[in-house]
Amino acid sequence: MSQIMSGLGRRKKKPRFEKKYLAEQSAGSLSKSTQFEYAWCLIRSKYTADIQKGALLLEDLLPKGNKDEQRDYLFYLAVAHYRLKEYEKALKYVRTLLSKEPKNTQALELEKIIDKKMQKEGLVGMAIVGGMALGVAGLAGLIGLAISKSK
Amino acid sequence: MLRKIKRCISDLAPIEEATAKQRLSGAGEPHLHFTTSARYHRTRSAPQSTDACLLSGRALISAEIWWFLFSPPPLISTIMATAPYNYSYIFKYIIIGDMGVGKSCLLHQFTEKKFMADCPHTIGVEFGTRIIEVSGQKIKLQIWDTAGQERFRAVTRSYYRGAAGALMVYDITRRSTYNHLSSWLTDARNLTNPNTVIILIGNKADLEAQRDVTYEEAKQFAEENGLLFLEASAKTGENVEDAFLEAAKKIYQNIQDGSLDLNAAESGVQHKPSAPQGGRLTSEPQPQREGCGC
Repeated sequence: MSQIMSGLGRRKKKPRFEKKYLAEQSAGSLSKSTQFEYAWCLIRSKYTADIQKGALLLEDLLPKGNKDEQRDYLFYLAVAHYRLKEYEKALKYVRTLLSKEPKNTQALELEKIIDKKMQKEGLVGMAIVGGMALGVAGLAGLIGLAISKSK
Repeated sequence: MLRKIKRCISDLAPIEEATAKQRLSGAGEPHLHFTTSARYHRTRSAPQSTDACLLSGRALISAEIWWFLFSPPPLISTIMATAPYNYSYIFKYIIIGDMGVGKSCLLHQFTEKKFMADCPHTIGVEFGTRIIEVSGQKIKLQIWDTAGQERFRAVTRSYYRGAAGALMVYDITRRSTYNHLSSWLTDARNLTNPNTVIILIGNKADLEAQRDVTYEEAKQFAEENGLLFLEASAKTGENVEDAFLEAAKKIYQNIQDGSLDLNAAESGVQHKPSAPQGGRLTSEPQPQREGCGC
């Protein structure tokens, strides 16, 4: 029973936030908290389109929020861009947050994670590019060899 | 590799000469054309073919590097799958309560054994783990520390599900935080399963002079609602370990007497996790979490 319930709950939750958001939006009384909750929900999604939409909603909220709310928006914007693999942007947001709250442990941790990921992806990227370059050169060489042999 | 290149070169040389000779001696076509083409062929293709050997050799090596670069993840996971776990259970905990009661400080004191002065308001949720021992069994506690601010209420509610233990915290120097307990308790009861162990914690017990809620009063509230109860201080560390341990003992007892079904989806307890699940569960920082829990 609890298994059924959990499955239902999982499926129900996003529409719940979505419904509230759409209802308020159509009524023209969209509150910041509803938009934030919906954005939060979206950036946890596994779908890129959802995360992008969540990031857009947060960007829209950013200038509207008070100081306390802005830190939340900045933090989740960083998370959203991290999940979108846009690490430069993610770093920009988390550093903006850190400029306001240099000792915020959550932000510091997130910055570390982004930095690490960037380094890792950078290395892998270099390996891929390098490998591909060598592969292409090797292939060209092989073709050259084949041509020279055939003649 | 060097030998291979050498072989390549020596292999190529006769071919090169042969083709050139063949072309030169070819009949029926203008002689001049052949010499130029042969010369052209020779000067251009000789270095190129050695190049090909060299480069294809390199490409082989780079494939090895690739294998090396990309193999670590599966390697690690197989190691993890075969290595014995140093704990036999995972319990999921949540910490709830009004903002500023010291939820994050309790977690920090428990996991780091340090007091965090002027700790900022938590954004959304934080996460901490620690391995403890109950009746000789190693248990890994996975603790979700929620933001107390009202605007996160809808967000933090998503983390209640599947908690084996809930720490409900109030501040003994602020009555309002105590008065809100019934609302926190309603949430906890509605969003967790009936077996979830809830422990009430009166934090900031070191500030005796500013006490606003008596021990007896809170004790009575806890008894009426079937909660465990302790007064603790994240600052001095008093009772912090016990708060987490008492809840774990109670959960373990529930497992032993069979009232907590480990196979239930939301028991909040995992027994000797298998590798994939363990990997997922131990990946702590929130931003890395995959999938949509919503």
